[in-house]
Amino acid sequence: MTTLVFAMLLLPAIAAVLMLVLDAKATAARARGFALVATVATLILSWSVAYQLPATSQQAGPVTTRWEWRHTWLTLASPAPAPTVVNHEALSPNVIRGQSPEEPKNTASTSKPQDPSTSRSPSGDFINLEFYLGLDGLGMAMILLTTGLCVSAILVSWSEIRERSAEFYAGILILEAGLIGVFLAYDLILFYAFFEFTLLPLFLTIGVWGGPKRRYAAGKFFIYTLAGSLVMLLGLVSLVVETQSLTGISTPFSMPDMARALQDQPLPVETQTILFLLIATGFLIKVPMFPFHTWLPLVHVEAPTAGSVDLAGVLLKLGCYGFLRIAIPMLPDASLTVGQPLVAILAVIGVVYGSLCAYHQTDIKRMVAYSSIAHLGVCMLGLFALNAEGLSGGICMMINHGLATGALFSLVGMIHERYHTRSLTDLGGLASRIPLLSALLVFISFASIGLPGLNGFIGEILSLLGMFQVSAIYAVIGTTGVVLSAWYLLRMVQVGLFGPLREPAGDHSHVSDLTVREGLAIWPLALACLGLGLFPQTLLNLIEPDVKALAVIYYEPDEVIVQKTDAIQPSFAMTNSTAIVTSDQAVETISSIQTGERR
Amino acid sequence: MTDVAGHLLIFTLCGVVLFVIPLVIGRWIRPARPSAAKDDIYECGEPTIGSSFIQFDLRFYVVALLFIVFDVELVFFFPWAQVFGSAIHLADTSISADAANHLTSTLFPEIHSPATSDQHSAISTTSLHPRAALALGWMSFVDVIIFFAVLLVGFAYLWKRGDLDWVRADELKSIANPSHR
Amino acid sequence: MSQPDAAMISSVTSAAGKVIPELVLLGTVCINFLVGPFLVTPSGRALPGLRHRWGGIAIAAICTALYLWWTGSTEVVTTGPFRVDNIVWYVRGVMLIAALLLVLVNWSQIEDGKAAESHACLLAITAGVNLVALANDLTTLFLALELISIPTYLFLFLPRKDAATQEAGVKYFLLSVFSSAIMLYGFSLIYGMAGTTDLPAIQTALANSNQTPVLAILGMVFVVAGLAFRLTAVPFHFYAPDVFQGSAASGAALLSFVPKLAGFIALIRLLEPVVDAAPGLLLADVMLPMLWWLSVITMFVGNFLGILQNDLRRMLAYSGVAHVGYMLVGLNVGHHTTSVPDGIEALLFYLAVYGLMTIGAFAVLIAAERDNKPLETLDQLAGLHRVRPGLALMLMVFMFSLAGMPPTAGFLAKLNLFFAAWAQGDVSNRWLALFMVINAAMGSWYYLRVVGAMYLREPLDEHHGSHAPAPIIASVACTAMVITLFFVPTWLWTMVQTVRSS
Repeated sequence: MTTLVFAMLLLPAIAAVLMLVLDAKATAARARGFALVATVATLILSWSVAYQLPATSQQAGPVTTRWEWRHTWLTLASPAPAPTVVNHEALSPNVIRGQSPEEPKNTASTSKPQDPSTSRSPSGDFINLEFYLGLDGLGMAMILLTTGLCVSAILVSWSEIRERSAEFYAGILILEAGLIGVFLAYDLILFYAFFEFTLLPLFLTIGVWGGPKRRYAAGKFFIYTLAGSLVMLLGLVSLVVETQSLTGISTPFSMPDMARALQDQPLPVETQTILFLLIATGFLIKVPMFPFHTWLPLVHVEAPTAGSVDLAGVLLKLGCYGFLRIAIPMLPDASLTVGQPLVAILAVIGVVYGSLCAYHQTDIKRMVAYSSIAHLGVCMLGLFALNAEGLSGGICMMINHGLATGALFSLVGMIHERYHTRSLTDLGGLASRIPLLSALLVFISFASIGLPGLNGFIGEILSLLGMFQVSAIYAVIGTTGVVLSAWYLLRMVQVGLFGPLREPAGDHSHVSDLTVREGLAIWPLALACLGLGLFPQTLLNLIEPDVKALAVIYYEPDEVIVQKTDAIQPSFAMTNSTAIVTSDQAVETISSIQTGERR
Repeated sequence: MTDVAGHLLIFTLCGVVLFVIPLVIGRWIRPARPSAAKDDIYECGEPTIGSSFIQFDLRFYVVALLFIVFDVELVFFFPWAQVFGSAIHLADTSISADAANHLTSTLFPEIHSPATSDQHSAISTTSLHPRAALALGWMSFVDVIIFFAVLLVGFAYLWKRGDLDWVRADELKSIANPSHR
Repeated sequence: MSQPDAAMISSVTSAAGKVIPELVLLGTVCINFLVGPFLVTPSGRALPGLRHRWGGIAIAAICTALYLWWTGSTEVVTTGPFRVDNIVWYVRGVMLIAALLLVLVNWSQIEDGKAAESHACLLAITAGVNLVALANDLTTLFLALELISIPTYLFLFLPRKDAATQEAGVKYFLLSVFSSAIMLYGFSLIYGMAGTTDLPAIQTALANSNQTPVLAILGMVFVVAGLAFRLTAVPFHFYAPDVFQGSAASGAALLSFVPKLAGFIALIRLLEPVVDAAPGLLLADVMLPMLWWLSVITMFVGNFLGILQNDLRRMLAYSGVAHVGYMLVGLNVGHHTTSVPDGIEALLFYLAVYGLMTIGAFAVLIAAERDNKPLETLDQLAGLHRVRPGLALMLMVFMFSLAGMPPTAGFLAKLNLFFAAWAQGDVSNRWLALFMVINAAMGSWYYLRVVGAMYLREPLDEHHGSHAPAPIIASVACTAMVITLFFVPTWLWTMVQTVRSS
C-alpha cells in the first residue's frame, strides 16, 4: 500500500523530470505519448490504491486516515529549556531585578520559565512538522478524479499544443503530482506547500500556451491566489500556535491530531472567528466565492483546454477541500456562527449572479466558467449546512462538478479546435455537422444541470436538502440555481447545436465528428457521469465514514451548540429533531429517491 | 538621567554660546570699511594668478595617502614598545620587588590598579614571574614581527606595482607612443 | 608564587589558536599580494588563464579553512579578545561556503591581471566576517568590520573600469566610511558609559549600574545606524540600488549577502549583552521599538520600490532590502521572551538560505551574460527559457525561493520567521507577522515578473551567452541546496539550534 501510494505520487513528477532532462526538445508526438503512458499508469495506480484502501479508519476523530505514513520533517522547538535566563542569573547574580521576584512589574523574561501556566509545551519541547501522508475516502475520491481528468487533459491537448510540447506535458504531469500531494497531505504545512506548489505549473501552462491575453491572466491568477494563500498561511500558523498553547500537543501541524485535540478542548469562539476568517480568505478565493471570483472567467478564457480542465475540475475543489479538512473540523463554533451565514449568503449570491452572468455570455468557455461559480455556490451551500446530508452532498458536488465541467471544457475545446471560435454568435446548428460531439455536449450539459439519473442530481439534491434543514430561504434561493443552470445550458445547446447551421466564414469541409482520440478523452467522463448518477452509493459509501466523523462534531453535544447558535444567530436555530440525521439516513433518502426515479 | 542629560545640555549650550558670542561681538565693534584691495584673495602676499579651483595632480593624493597609511601604522609600535620594554625589564631577576610590582601594574592595569590595591593587597604585592615575563616579551616580539611583515607585504605590493614612481611605467610607455593611449 | 596573570597571559597567547582558519585565509591574502604583482606586466596585463590559478588557490585556501573549521575544537571560550562559541561555528561554516560560491561567481568576472587582488580581497572579507563573529571586544569588532569594508571597496572597484563602476565604488566607499564613523562614535559612547571595551564586562557594567544608561542608549542608536547601513535597512538603503547597478555582478552578489551577514551577527553580538543586561530599563524600551520600526519600514519600502524597477540588479538590491526587513523581524522577536521557535534561530536559518538564493541568482545572471556585458534590464532576460532552459529553470527556483514559494528553502525560512513572530505572542510582533505576509504578497510580484520575462516572452535574439563553467557550478550548487533544504531542513536547523542552546 505504502509503495503504491508513493508510486502514485512520484510517478508523474519523475516522468515530468525525465521528460525535461532527457528529451526536452521532443516532438509533440513523442511527448504526448510519453505523458499519456505516465498519466494512464498513474490512473491505474490510483485505482489499485482505491481498491486496497480499508473501508474504515482505525482511529477516532473528526479527521481520520485509513492509511498513513509519517516522517519528521522539521522539529521547530529547541530540545533544551530556555537557556538565556539561566545564563543571566549565573552571570550577574546581584542585578536589581533578581532581588525582587515578587514585584508585579517583574519582566516577562524572568517570570516566564518559572511559571508553569505559561510554559508552552507540557509534553516536551518538540513541535514537529511532518511529512504526513494519509488517505481517507474524501482524499481518495479526489485523487481518482484528478488522475482521471489528467488522462483526459493529455488527450484533449493532443493536437492543440504544437510547440514546446515536452514542457507542456511535463507541466501537466507536475500539476498532477502536486494535486495528488494536496489530497495526500495531512500536515498543515505540507498541505499548504502542495497547495501553493500547484500554482507554479498552472501559471506557466496558462502563461505560455494560453490565449491572447495569457500573460495578464496568468499574472492575475498567480498574484490573486497567492495573496489569498498568504493570508491563509497567517491563519494556519496562528491556528497551530493557538492549538499548541491551549492543548500542548507535540504535533500541532498534523490535521488528525489537531482535530482530536480541538474536539476535546475547543478554542474560544472569538479566536475561532478570527482564525476562520483568515483561513477562509484563501479558500474562498480558490473556490471562488462571489466577491473573489473575478480571476476565474479571465483565466478560463485564456487557459489552454488542458489547463481549464484541470483548473475547473480539480483546482477549484482545493478550496472546498480545504474547508472540509481544516476550517470545518478545527473551528466548529466559528463555522457554525460565522461560517454558515457568511458562506451561505455569498453562495446564494454566487449562484444567482454566476447563473445570470453565464446566461449573458456568448463565449461558451466563459459561460462554463461562470456556471462553475454557480455550481460551486451550491456545493458550498451543502458543505456549510454542516450536517451529514449537506456534507455528503457537497462532496458529491465536488466530484460531479469536476467530471461534468472537465468534460464540458474538453468539448468546448474540441469545438474551438474545429472552428477557432467559441462564440455563440458564430456557431449554430452544429448537431447536423458533428452529431456525436453534439450529443455528448447535450448529455454533459444535462449532467451539469443535474438531471435525475445523472451525477449532478445527487450532489445538488443532497446539498440543498442539507441546507434546507438549516435555513429554508438559502436552500430555496440555491434551488433557483438549478433552474437557472437549465436555462443557460439549454440555451447554449439550443443556439449552438440546433437550428439552422451557422459556421464562421471560411472553408469548413474538413470538420469531422468526434475522433477516436477525442472519444477516449470524453467517453470515460461521460460514462462516469452516468455511472455515478445510477450508482451514487459507491461514492457515498466511500466518503461515508469521513462525513460521519465530521458531522458528529456538530450534533453530538446538541444543546450546547444550539443554544450558542440561538444566542448569536437566531435565524440559524435548528431543532434537535432535524439535527440528528446521520449519514445512513441520508443515504437511505437518496436511494429511495433513486429507486423511485428509476421506476 | 537628569545628571548626565544636564551635563550634556550645559556642554552643548556652552559650545553654542561661546561660538556665537565672539562673532556677535566682532560684528558690533569692528569697523566696516571694505575696499577692492581688502576684498581680494589673500595668498601669501602675492597677487593671485588664475582661479583657485584647479585640479591637483592625483599623484599628490596617492603619495599623501601612502604616507598616512604607513605613518599611522607606526603609531601602533609605541604601545608595543612599552609592553615589550616592561616585560623584558621584568624578566631581569636582579631588579627590586618594588620595581617589579610597579612594572607588573603598568602591564596589567586592570588587576593592579591603585584603586583596587587596598582590597586585593595580597595580589598587588605579587609580581609577574620572570619566566612568564620573558615569555610575554618574546610573544610580543613575534607579534610585532608579524605585524611588520604584513606591512612589508603591503609595501612590496605597491613598490612592485609602481605606485611609488612619480612617472609610472605604463605612462612612460604611452608617452613614448601616444597612439596606444 | 601565585600567578594571577597567568590566565591573562595565556588568553593572549592562545588567542592565535582560536583563529586558525582565519589565519590560513589571511596568509593566502599575503601570498596573493606578494606574488600577484610579479606575474603581471607594468601595464596590468598577464598570461591568459592566470585567473584560473588564482581562483584555484583561493578555493584551496577556503577548503583548508573549511577542513580546519570542521575538525577544530568546539570548546566554548568567552574571555579574551576572541570568543569561541556555537555562533562562531555557524557563521564560519556559512561564510566559508558562501565564500566558495563567491569565488566561483567571481571567477569569470575578473581580468587575469587583477585576479590575484580580487581573490585576495574575497578571502580577506571572509576572514573579516568570521572575526566579526569571534569578536569579544568593541575594538576587535570594529577592526573586523573594517576588514570587511576596506577589501570590499577594492573588490567593487577592480572588475571593470567604466564610469558606472567607478561611481559605484566611490559611492560605496564614501558612505561606508561615513557609516563606520557613526558606528565608531557609538562605540566610543558605550565605552564611555561602561569604561571598558570588553563585551562581557560591558554587560556586567550595564547590569550593575543604577542609572538609566542614556549614553549607552545613544551609543546603541549610533551603532545600529552604522550597522543598518551595512544591512541596507531603510533609511540607510539609498546607496544600494545605485551601487548594485554600477558594480559587476560578482560585486553585487558579494554586497547582497556578506555585509548583511556581518551586520546581523554584529547586531546579535551587541544587542545580546546590551539589551539583555537591562531588560527593565529604558534601553530595551528604546532599542526594540526602534528595531520594530526599522523592520517595518524596511520591508515596505524595499518591496514598494522593488516593484518599480526594470533593472535587474536594482531590483535585486531592493529585494535584499525587503529581505533585511524580514530578518529584522527575527532580531526583534529574538530579544523578547523565549518563544518557539526562537527569533534568532529563525534569523540565522534565514540568513543561510538567503545567501544561497541571492548568490545563486547572481550566478545565473553572470552565466547568462553576453560578450562579458552584464545583463541589465528585465528585457534582456526575455525568452531565456528558450535559449538557456537550464539557467532559466535555476533562476526560477531562486525567484520562487526569494518569494517564499514551496518547494524551496525560502518557504521554510519565511515560515520559521513567521512562526517565531506569531508564536511569541506579543501583539506588536504579531503585527510584524502580518506585515510580513502583506510584503511577501507584494514582493512576489516582481519576482514573478522575472519568471514571466523568462518563460512567457519570446527571446530578442538567439544569443546563447557564455558557457563558462564556474558560475554554472555555483548556481547548480545553490539550486541543489535550496531545494534539498526544503526537504531535509533538519541538518541546518539542528546547527541553528545548537547555536542558541550554547
